[in-house]
Amino acid sequence: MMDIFMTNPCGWSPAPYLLFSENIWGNFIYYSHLFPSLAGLLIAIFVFLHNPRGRANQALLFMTSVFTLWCLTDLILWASERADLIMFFWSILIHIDLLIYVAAFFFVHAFIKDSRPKWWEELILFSFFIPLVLFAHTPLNLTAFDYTNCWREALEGPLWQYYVYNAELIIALWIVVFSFLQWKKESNQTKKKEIAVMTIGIIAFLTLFSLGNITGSIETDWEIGQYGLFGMPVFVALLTYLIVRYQMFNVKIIATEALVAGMGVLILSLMFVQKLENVFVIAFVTLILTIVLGILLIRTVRKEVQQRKEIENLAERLKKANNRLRELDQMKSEFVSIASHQLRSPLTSIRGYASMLLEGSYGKLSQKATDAINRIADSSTYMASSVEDYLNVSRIEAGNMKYEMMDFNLRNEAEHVADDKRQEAMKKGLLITFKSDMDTHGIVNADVGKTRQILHNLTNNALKYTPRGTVTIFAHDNKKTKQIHIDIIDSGIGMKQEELEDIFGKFERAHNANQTNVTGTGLGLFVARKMARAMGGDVTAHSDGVGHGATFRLTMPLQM
Amino acid sequence: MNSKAFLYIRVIIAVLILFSIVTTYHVTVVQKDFEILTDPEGPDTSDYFE
Repeated sequence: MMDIFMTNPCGWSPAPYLLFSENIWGNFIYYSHLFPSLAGLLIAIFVFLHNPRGRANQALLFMTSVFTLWCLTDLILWASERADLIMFFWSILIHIDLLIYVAAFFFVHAFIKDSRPKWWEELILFSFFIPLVLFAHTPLNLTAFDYTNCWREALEGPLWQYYVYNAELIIALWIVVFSFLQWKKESNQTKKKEIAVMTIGIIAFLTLFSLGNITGSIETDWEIGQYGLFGMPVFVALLTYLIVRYQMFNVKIIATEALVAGMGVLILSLMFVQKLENVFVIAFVTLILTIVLGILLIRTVRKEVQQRKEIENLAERLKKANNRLRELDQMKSEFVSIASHQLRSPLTSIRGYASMLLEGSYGKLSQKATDAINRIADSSTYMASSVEDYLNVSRIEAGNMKYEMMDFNLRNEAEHVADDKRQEAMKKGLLITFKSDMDTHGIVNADVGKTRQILHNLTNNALKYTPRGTVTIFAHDNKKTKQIHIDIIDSGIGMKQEELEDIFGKFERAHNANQTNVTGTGLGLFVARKMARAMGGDVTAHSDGVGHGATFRLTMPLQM
Repeated sequence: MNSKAFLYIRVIIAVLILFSIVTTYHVTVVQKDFEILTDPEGPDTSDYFE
């Protein structure tokens, strides 16, 4: 009886790898199965790779994978010459068929609500499989294998015609109702459009897919069924539209890329088709896709041209504003320079007379008068220092700062600064020490006065922001990098990591600077860094955080 | 309902479907237990059936 499985009364060709044989009389069958599944799978993989954790991304990949599995299984039915294999694959196709709808529901849910269905929804969806599990191997699934006139077809039984197609219809309606309710509830207009376009896409895909299968099952004309598979490219086109138009799945792709990718897949798929009668269908699909993507492309290009014009206008306005700002800055620098010069002379006079009064040049003063003159002297010194800072800033910004470069010993200069500042530190109850660890003589080529000023600025800074403890000036060098470093290390209030660069800005001070009640212009570090860089060196800051002190480092190139 | 319950539902249904596929394979490919229709007026295939 079963000789049919050994011999071949109808002259059918064997199918190597199950998929390829001459039994498939037209290459269009390969096209109708491989092109939609490839198109779906490609876009799903692209979206998935972009964000593998996205629930909708995962659901889309799952749905298109199940669809691809369906297409490959169906191809086996077209290719195989063995009745038993055809019966087996056709029988299990019922599970895959239903799974496509379940996966579509999961995708819609994830897309709209970014969540999985509720437990009872999932239970209902999966309970649709129970009759399939119970009867898939019985004649209720496939009643017989039709050998009539050498047809290689199975006859679908009530499990297909009365159960699974109705179950699929229920799930499809469920998707429509669910999407509609969510669409109605949604207040965001963009999201509303996204839900509408996606629902139209998924329903177009499922309807075409079902129509093809149901017509095939009732009419037993399976050639019609293969056209139903083109629902997937329709869905893919709408999905691409969503990605291009609304950056769905957070994928930023422009229409040009989508068009090129789409045309590439279509042209590649033409290689599967050789018969002329099929060219019309393929050309039609290609035309529709080209029109849709072409419109998107034109809109994108127009938008980009418009944006470019706006950017050009903005750039022009920015240029004008920038020039105006420069002029204002130049005027401000000139004003500061003039004002500072005007202040300098009376200040020198005030300091001079205060000094002479304190020295007793105008007779002996009472203690009260001495205290008052001391305050005048301190304030005028501070003011003179501020004026010097302003003058330096205006010189730096105007490019008028002059540097008299010469070779000198930086290590010794640092030690002198430590000695100069010792008295002032002691007045504040601070200890200032000098250490050195040098392998070279510490000779640098720079402006001595400016370098000394940098060291003074950094040391003043350390003294200001250290309420108690020590300030250490540490000179050390590195023969490999040919650099000398002067570290001014304090045990002061410290600062946050994010402030380490900001404090070198003009008029910038650390956020906790006021805690120590110190006065300052916020120009000392700005001037120090500008001058160090102008001489080929740099000033950097380091701190382990608020309350952990700070280290300021002057780095200069060594003259070896 | 926690995520484990969801996992159980999915695993159970996957196992059931797998069981159904194995059973179907046994019936169709191993036992070859299904009816074959032939047409007496069609091509002569009688030699191949008992």
